[in-house]
Amino acid sequence: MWTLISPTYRADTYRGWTLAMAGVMVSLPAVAVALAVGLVSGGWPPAVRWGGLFVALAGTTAVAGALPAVRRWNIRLANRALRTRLPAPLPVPGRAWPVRARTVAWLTLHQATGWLLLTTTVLCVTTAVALGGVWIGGGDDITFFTLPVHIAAGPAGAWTVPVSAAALLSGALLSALATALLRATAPVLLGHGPDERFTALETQVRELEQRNRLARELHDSVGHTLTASTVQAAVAGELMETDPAAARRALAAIEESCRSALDDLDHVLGVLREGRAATTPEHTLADLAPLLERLRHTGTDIDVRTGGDLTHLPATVSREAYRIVQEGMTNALRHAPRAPVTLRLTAGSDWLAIDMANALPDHRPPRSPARHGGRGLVGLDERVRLLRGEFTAGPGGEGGWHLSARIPLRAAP
Amino acid sequence: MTGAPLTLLLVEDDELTRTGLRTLLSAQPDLAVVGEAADGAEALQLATSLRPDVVLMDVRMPRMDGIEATRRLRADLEVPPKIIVITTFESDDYVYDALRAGADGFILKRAPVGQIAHAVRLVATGDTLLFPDAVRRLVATRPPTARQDPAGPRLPVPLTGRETDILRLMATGLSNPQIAEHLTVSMETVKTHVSNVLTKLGARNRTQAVILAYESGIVVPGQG
Repeated sequence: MWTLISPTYRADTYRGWTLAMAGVMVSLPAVAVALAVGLVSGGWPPAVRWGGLFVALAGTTAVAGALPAVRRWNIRLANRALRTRLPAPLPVPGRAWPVRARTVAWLTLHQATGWLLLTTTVLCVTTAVALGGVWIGGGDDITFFTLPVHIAAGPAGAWTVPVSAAALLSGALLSALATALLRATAPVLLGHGPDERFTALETQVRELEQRNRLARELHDSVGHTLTASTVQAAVAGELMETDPAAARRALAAIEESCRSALDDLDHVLGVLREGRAATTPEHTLADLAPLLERLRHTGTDIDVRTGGDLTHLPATVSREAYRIVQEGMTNALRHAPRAPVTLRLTAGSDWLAIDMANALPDHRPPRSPARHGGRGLVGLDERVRLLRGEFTAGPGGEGGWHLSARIPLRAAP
Repeated sequence: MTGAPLTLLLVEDDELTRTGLRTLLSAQPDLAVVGEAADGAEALQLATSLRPDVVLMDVRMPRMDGIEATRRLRADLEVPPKIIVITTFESDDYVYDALRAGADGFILKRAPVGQIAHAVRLVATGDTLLFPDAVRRLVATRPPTARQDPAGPRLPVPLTGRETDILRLMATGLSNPQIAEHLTVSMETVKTHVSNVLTKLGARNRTQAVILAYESGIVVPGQG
């Protein structure tokens, strides 16, 4: 019941309605042309007149649909009204006809929906106002769309209230239906076609290459500054007593070069950073204890054993390890709630090893990783391999689930 | 160390790093920095006129890079100085190229000065591979295609079993006396074998021989 009424108070319904009405407005020039054709062909047989009207409508729409600005404008309109995130059109080399055809289809649908919705809205509102209004006005005999209707005064005519309400509700429901239809069709007709998707991908690849180049340059320049600073710091330490002036110069040089490196970082990171920056630093293995504590609160028995020095791992490795543990634990909890989990973290001289295992309840066959929690595991796999490590996750021995990751601690294994 | 100090030529384009390294290395009693160059071309001139024992060579420099400078020093001078490549990053592709061009070893610029000085002394005596683990890692990061030399393990004159053993021990960083002790043979025998290995591989020094050995698969990185 509630779901039935909900479209009446959802802003979404009326945004869609506005969009449909915009379709009516947009069609006005075409309708004007069509009417002009109708007037000119006044003396001709009806078939010719209707045919002319249709050709004029279709022709105007087709011409409008071929204009790139019309498409861009419609995409913007749809995004506004439907809250869709359709990408802006891209210039594509070669054939533009498929795109134009889709735009024409959209225009046709948009305008047709608009006129239909306008008609139903007028009908529903008229019904509600007419029936309700006459009853409030003391009742009367009226002709309602050629149908004679008697509305009695007082309680006997109170049936008009639910009927009026039903009329308004149907209007809202139809509007919601039109919104849903437009929203479902917009990506197909206004979204990127294969050519545009290709162009978008090309642009993306170029951007990534640029980012990579910037990252590499940043890596180099910061590396050089840190090297120079390390050397100068050693100089300052060496000369502290024998030549304090020179030691001071070395310190000043460190200050200066660190400052310029930070400026460089500031500048390039602004470019490199995709989307919003996190306001909190990424977690590392140092945050492992609170994570496990939270997980234990869910009633899961976690057996943790660590080996080696986990506090001095490279930051990248430590962050990745935290993500692996977090993702692995979340998966374990999701698929086998309350089943005990064992976690082994071992830092060697060259590698960090992470092993996680949990039993699956009732010897239920483990579900395929591709379908469940797949995105997360695939992401982990990709990132571990980027760090030149190894990652496996899947059914282990004795009907349990096993996750294992090996990450090298140096850039060169 | 007795007698005259080892003479060094410092080649590095970044002034802060260069002057810093000069100050630090000059403080070592047995080392003397006799010259400084900011690029490869300058390094060639100074190496020819100053005749240093060891050149500390940066790789990426304007005008002439360290790889080209290393190659020219090796080719032009009858008794070329020992060359240690100094680098910002261990996993730098150019370091590998410089070693292939005939540098005797490489070391991080950020290494503590004691370690750099140690490397200089070690390379000056010439019978030990500098930082065998670092060299192994450097080879291991190369894509396998780049490692497989088409000339491959087929050498004009194949290594004898003994020579292969010695090459393997060279790759682990053992010096000639240590190899002699390990194989219970005389120093002279080891020296002869080492020189044969270098000749057969067409290598200019131990580092190059070990890299070639890794590349051709005569020695597999990670297997001592």
